[in-house]
Amino acid sequence: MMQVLQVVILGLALGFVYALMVSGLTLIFGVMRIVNLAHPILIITGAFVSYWLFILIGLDPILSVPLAAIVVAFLGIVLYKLVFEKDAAKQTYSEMTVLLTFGMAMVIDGILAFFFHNTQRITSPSYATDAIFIGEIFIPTAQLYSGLVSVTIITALALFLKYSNFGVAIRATSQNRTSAELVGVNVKLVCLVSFAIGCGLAGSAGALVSFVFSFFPSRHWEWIAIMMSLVVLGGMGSITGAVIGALILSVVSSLVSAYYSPAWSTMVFFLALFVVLLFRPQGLFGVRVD
Amino acid sequence: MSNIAVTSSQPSPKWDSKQVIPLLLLVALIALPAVQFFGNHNYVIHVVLFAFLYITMSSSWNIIGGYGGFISIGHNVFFGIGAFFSGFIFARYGISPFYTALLAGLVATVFGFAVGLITLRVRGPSFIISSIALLMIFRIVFDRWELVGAAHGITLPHNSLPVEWSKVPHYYALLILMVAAIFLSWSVRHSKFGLALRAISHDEIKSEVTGINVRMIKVTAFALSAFFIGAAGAIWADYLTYVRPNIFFIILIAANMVLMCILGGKGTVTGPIIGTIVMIFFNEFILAQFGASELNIFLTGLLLIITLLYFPEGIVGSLKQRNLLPRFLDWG
Amino acid sequence: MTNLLDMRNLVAGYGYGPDIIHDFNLQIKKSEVKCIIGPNGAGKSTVLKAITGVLKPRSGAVEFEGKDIAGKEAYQIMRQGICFLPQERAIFPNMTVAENLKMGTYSLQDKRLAEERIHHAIETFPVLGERLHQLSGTLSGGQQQQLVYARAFAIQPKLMLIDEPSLGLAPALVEQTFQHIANIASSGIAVILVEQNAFRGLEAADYGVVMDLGKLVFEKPANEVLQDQRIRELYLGKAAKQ
Repeated sequence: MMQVLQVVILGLALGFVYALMVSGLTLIFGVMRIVNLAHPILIITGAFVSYWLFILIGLDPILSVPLAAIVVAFLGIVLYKLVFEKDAAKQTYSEMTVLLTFGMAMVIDGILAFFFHNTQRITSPSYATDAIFIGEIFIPTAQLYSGLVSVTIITALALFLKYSNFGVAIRATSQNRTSAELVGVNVKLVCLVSFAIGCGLAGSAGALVSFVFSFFPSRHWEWIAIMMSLVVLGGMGSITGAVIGALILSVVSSLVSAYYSPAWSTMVFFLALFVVLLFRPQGLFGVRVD
Repeated sequence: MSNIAVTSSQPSPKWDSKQVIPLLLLVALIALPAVQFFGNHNYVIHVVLFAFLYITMSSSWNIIGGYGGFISIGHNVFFGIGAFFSGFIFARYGISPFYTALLAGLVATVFGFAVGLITLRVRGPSFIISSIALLMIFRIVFDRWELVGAAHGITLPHNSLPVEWSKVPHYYALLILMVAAIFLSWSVRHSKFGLALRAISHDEIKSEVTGINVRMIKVTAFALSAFFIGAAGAIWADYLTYVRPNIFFIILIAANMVLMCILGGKGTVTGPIIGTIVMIFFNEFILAQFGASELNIFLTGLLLIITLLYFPEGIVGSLKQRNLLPRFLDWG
Repeated sequence: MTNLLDMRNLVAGYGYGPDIIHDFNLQIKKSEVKCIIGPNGAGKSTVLKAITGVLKPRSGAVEFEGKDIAGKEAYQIMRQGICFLPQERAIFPNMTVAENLKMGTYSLQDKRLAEERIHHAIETFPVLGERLHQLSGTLSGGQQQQLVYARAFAIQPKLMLIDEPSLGLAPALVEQTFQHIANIASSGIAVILVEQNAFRGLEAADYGVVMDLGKLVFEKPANEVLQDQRIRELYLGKAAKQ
């Protein structure tokens, strides 16, 4: 029993990191109906920023969270201006945008791999190998810290969306774009800022991921499907849904890893995606647009 | 067929550029391995048969992705299935993939049909993502499956031909598969089935209302598009002399199919052919100039973005819109 | 009195498609109500979209209070004091009623004034006051309709454009909706209404504007429009002519 609790707690800590990883993805989808396949490679970009800051000047990866967020958010603005600006006004979603982000993912992957090669890296601050014991339950500090920081960032995001003026405009745009425009919301600006925030979230997640998982540029292909399964389970476009989806799947996958085999734990994510497909044939992205 | 009726009613000469140029090209391709009598030109043979492979695959992808509008970026699962099927039989029973390639295609087709029943219930982004997930599932399963060698895969024996002739059997096998795949694509394009498929890509509900069995048609198209990809996988396994998950189940192969098809013009018969030829020249050029495969993935992505933003109709589609498409490339 | 809105020689269409409206002219003064009628496909809704910037005019001038607004972004035009109610029910389904109303005052800097207007809107539509914290997507159809008009109230525009207010509504709701429109008009807001139900629309309006094939056919005081011979031709087609 104690052991199950142990696994569940580890799963939850990791689940919050996953939740942060997908929060930007689901925000961008909600506002612009863009399924950003480049999101995982942006996370890896954030991880690289954090990694090099640690290697070069010894900056703690938790302290580099804001820096990684800013760098990746800026990258997001550039990508948005270059690729999406033209079509941002279109409300209708097309296959094109998925392929565009797919192309973007390849471009960034290629650049990162060219400079840093596909070797496994992990940031190793002093606490990376520590663990905290609560009774019989131990929690590795890396997972504890990253989980806590993730919870903080997600809470901040939720409060921003709920109460700030601009946050309300973002929610309004994602629920009814035309109406938002018709009450005077600058929808194009909302799109740009949401895209930047979404990418910034990816960057911050990257900084945390850098000392939890080993990473290398082409790893994002595996993460794409994992992250999709998380948001799909919780309902695309909803941050709360993404958090719930991430927590559930993370715990299940931890249980599979502990009681069956670590090699099959990622299978949980992909199978979940197919199960959702089977039971929700109307589509994974059942966002109400009416 | 209305367009056949039109051509036959015109007093035009029996042979025109539309038939002559492709036939001449085909004869030239059949004769090409003769260069091996004049020294070892294995590089030429390799590049051309590589083009055959990808034309086979992108033409097949075009059936579901171009005509049907279902963008699959995990279509190389069929490539891997074909390769592992024939590779496994070769390693265990000694039957060469050349004999089992069509059977491998059939296995891929049956599998495609089953998968299609699930994933084709959705379209748009949901479908695209399900296709990636499918690929990931295959990668995990084959990485762990001991019977087929897990992550190490299966090593196959070399053929016993002298080095300058060792690629020639694959050359002809892939040439045949390519011609057949183009023919299949052409037949679908000009059939009632293809018309229904294109109607579905525009609007599924309206198609359903006109009495089209939407589900059956799209699943059949998905299965059909798997056949030659599976068969080509079998030949490719023999060519490489090994089958490994990290060679066959990588997303870059599917990305190439998609890009080649979109670059050439999806939904046209000759688009995937032109797109593939352009891409392969481009790739060979990059490899020769820079030699780094990381740049390759970068440039492939860049080319995809540029094509989508500025020439979404692709080369053939754009030329056709401007009435600049040479007649021998206008196959519908 | 000067025109509130002055639209001259307007040409508009969708995407790469043909022009839907040609050389269209329309003026409206303060606190007037005009109803645009005409057969399906006449381009009535397109006129509204072209004014609001949801659709960018291809050529021609649109002046609002003497300022050129043609080609501006929709949100900029809205901030000038135009409110547009499109055919689709324009609510934010996953926001509460209160949040929806607050969106009506989104571009207002003065918080006190914003609260005042929201308060006023709730007074006018008391049903909503009882459901301020309910998600608006869970309201009944009639309540959602009220919410849309209440939000328009909170916006307090100078000109209100309404596209097919009675479309797809139950008869009782149609009456309720036209009551809202009458309320709006009586508070001094100018209204341009597009309505398929010509009789009901003209009843609510001062002037009737008749359109066909993207052009203005004629404009007359509302009570005279239905008597015009040309109306019969438009609605009954060529058969009536012969």
